[in-house]
Amino acid sequence: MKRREFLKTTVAAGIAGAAFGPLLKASNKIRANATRPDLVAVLGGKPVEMFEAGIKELGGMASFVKSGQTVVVKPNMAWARTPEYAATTTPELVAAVVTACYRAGARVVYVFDHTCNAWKQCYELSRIAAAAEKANAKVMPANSRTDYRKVSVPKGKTLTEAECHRLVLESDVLINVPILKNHGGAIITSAMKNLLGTVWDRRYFHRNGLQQCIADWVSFRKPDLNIIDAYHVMMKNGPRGRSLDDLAVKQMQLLSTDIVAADVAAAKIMGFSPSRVPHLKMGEELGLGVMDLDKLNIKRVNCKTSREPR
Amino acid sequence: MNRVESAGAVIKKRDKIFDIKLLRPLRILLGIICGTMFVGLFIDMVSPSPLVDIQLGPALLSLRTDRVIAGSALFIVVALLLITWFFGRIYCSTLCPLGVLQDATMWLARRRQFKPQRNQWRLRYLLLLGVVVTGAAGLIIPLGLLEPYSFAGRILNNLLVPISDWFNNFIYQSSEGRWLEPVKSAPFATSALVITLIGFLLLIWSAASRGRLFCNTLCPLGTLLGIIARFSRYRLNIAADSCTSCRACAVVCKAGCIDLDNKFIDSERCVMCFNCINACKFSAIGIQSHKGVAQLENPQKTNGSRRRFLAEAGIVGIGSLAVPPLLRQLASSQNQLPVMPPGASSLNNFTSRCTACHLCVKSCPSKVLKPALLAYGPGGIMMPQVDYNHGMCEYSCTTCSNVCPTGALTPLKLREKQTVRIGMVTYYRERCIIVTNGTYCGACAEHCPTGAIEMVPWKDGLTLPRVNPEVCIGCGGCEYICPVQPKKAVIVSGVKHQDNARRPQTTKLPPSEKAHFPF
Repeated sequence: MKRREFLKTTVAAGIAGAAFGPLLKASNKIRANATRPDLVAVLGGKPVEMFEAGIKELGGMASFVKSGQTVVVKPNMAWARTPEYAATTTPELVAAVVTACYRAGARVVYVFDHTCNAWKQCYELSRIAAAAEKANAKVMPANSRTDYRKVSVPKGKTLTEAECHRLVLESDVLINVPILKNHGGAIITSAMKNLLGTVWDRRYFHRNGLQQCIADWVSFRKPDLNIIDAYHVMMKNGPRGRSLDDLAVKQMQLLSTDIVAADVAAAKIMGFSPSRVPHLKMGEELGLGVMDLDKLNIKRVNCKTSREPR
Repeated sequence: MNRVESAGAVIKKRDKIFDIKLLRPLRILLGIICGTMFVGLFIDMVSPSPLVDIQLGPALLSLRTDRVIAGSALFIVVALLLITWFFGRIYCSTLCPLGVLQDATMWLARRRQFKPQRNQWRLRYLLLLGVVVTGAAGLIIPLGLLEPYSFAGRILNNLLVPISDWFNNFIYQSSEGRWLEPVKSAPFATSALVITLIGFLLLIWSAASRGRLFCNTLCPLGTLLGIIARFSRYRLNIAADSCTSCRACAVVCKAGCIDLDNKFIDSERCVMCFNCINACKFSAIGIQSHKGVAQLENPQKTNGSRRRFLAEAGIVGIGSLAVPPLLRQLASSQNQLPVMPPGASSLNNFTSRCTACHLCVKSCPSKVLKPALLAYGPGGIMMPQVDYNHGMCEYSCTTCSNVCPTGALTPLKLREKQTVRIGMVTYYRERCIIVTNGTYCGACAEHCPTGAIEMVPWKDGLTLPRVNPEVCIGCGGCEYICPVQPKKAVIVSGVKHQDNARRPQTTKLPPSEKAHFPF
């Protein structure tokens, strides 16, 4: 009796599982395709909470990272400043992104930035290296020219050649995790500008028209996902910042595959008209994304309300 | 023979001679440990090293600083001098990096036999007098060029560090980043390399052919310690009754200071290497206590030349006094001042304290320090200056001032360093890329940690740098990153006195409105 019952249940469960599995998968897929937003804007939680809420809306990290892939997570850790000055990406956020990549099956996740200040001090003071290493990421140096390879930028208008960090070339997935800041030269530094940390000679950019070069460089390798940290936002004296007075608490985060749209939203968060930031328009002209947010499917998530009891 | 015992004619029986054969291996072991640690310090394998703090030269110079370190420096100086007074110049064979380097050279060159050396007492006393007087008159480089710790530091920094850096990066590169981390190489200073190489080659030549010649002629510390070692309590001596004058000891003496005709070992020149003890088959040479025994007169030194020496000393002393002002005159005729590392305080302070050991040059994480040729004038050769071509003086870094062992750089806390003005920026608008090309830049303002360069609206949406001199600390971030070629549009020039810049002030932002998405 008992044995028969057991057999029955197992068989039934097996059949149900076999039938339901693909069904579930298919329905998931349909849902993802139908409703996956172009831009997820999250509000109100800690950076890690906002990331977890946001990435869920995009179908989880598994939509971007497949099992066995290698991933570059590119934060902004260009300055030798401690996290509270918000000149560098929130370390916990970087760690959370790394962990999510590993959960999605990534073989290895690299974290690096070509820093402006001495690299070891940047890696250490920003606390990103320690946080990322704790999450098992391989934190790599990016201050040695031997790690860069000459590449051509076919779509580039001004920048036709550059030296790109080899890990960007060798990895399957590029996840861009900038922090939103005001920028003396580029007006804002967000997702597009953050990619300067993957190139060797940034003086060339400044010498030959910074705005166009920023857009050109994005066209070489569009990140698969952009996660813009806009919790503390440096509103002035950027990108380095002088004191805590430069910061405003916005408590926001933007997640998007569309780097231009994400930066347009970021500019608006800073209170800028996106037309004031030439590299956004240049990016759209290169087909890197859409500037008109009204054309896009934007998912707004409020972390606070979503956590309230139903 | 001048073996006159103490003046009271109280004949005291000399103590027994101890031929302790263990001393030589012990000396070699200590030398190897210290030498390895010293090399390790410069190639970043050992850090931080207490070995630098116990070097006599830096400790002596630190005595002149009114710093906390002066306390520990005083302790070290007293300890080293006491050790010398008790046991002779054991410092020269164990702790002195240049002494160990010379010993290693002799060993590598398989030099086992040496000729007796003439006692160059006149030369070394006058040289010591000269460099001390010049140093006291405000110019320390003549001392620094001869002082053994600084000499060794320059050899390691300019000759060994480039090789070890290259090797490090080679391994990093060929392992595709799996092993080691890439290191930034210091800016190439040809003059420093050439000068150090010449000094190094002369030194190893002299060591390989003449033993410790340098230590008993040019080395000011050797001379100083020698004067104390003349009166040392325990020293090497020959037992006249058992000595067969076989010369085995004299032949292995690196200092060439054994006078077998007079059965006399010159403790002033003896570096306590103990080669002689182990060479003697008759146990006729060893350590002997000189307690209560009058100091033996050196038979080589008694040719009635005291009057002549005093005259020479007078000339050298007065001449040395005149050198610093003369060289300073030459230096001040140069129009641009070099940028001194933070903590140098003033040009006068720096040139009177820095012995150019290059420990700061080696330690600087952003590699902005470089040995000068004539930037400080001929009296400041090899002294470190800041060069912004390959980096900036990091706002969050106080390394150089805290490794400086001589007190030439006052140790700075981070908060202090962030207002110490080491230079002043000048903006050349006509060279600026924004003006010449009409494109966005702002790299200088981007790198400025204090807001000494700010971007202000200009035309066509472009912004132009504006200098706020009162907050500029001269860190050179702007000059380093400026993309203009060949002459940069922002240049930092040195200051004679490192005063304090105003701490950057910022205004608070208006409180942000209730959070909502503006799109």
